[in-house]
Amino acid sequence: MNRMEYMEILLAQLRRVTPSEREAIRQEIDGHMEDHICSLLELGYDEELAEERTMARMGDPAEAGQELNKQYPLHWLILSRVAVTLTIILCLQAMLGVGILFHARDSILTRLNPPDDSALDKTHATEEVDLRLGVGNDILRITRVSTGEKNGYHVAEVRLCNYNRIPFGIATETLINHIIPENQRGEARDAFERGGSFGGSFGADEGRLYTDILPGDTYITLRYDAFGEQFDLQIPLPEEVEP
Amino acid sequence: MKRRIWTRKRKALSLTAVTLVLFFLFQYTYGICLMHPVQARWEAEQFYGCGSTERICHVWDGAVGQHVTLSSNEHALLLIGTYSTLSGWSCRDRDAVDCSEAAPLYGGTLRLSDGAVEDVVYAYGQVNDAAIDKIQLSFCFAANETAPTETHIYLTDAEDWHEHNGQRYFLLRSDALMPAYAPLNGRPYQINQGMVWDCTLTALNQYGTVLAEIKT
Repeated sequence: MNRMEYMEILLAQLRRVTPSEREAIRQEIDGHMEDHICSLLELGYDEELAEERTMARMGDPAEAGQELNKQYPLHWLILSRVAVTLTIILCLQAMLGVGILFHARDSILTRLNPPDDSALDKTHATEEVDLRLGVGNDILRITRVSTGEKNGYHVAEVRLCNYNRIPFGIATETLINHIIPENQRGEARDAFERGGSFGGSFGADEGRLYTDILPGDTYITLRYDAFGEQFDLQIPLPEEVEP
Repeated sequence: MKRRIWTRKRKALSLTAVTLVLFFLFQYTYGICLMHPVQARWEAEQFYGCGSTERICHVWDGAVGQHVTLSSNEHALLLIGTYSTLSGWSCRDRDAVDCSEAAPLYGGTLRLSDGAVEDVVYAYGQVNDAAIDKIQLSFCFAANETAPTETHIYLTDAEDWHEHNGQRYFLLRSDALMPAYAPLNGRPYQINQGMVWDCTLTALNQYGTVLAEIKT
């Protein structure tokens, strides 16, 4: 029996191994035999005898193969295959649901670059602010306060957005809609634009709130009372400059 | 350099770890791969910002292929319809009611759809007045703008309600299945959603006297 035949008998006992594992085992055993043969050659053995002694030292190839086979239990192979299959399915689902990533995008963008534009017909005064308030799971962020004209009314406009405290979390969609903007006299007008959103995204919500004011008003109040959460937030108005 | 040979066990555990990381990442960022309906409820709680709720009752509605779950906490009532897809559990139809104050009756309605063929209307609520013995749900429905109006009325008795932490809750299903979409102008591919309006919940005592009314 030569080295090649020895290897074939040993590998024939490995019934539960994959082709790559079989190749790795072949290389490993071949390497061991090669090292041992080289050692014997250095000691003065001739090549044929060195190979014969090496195979004798390795033992019966069938027995060695059977012992080796036990080192490759089938359940770990099944677990690997299941894990690979599930990973492929997950990646396919992620690719199919790539639109959902807009939620994640909005969640991040609103944190880094919150909307702060104004939609007044005519602006009298405007001020960039950065007021943050924790409301339940969310952070409510006010980015701009303006005064001016809207639909023929003298109004204060508050630009605001909200997002979950945890990045990628779902933003409360009803938060802004539950806020009532009141002027200094405690009046709230509902005829103006309220709320708004990032095209139905759950990652963040944004909107503008309006309430009518009188010249000389210095603040408005945002009132919120929903699902056990309450706040009254007084927001100073920017000083209007006489035209 | 000698190449490191991974054992089968080590390889299997590493791949499983990668799969689990991806799984939780996609659950978190995409909201997909939800393995249990309760995760869809958690999403709805976040959506309404109503805080964590406890399940009151749960029914399977085969007509629309959804699990209907009523849950509540001190300040909110939440009704959701969840269904299973290849991407895990999902929630399409949901509604929440703020019940922070001490009103005799809190309630809402939710139209559940299977997304294609039929819809049902659910009414749900919390009854705080011990004198309330019955709840009546009434609503108008028309399959499309030219179809005749149908008025539907349903009644639920106190004995069918659920008790949880000393509170009484009801969940009422309208038996009528309504077409979710109706053909428009005889063209089956151009569709118009059926309409439901004037949804009213009326609380009655044992003598039939109206004690409270909610328009949803």
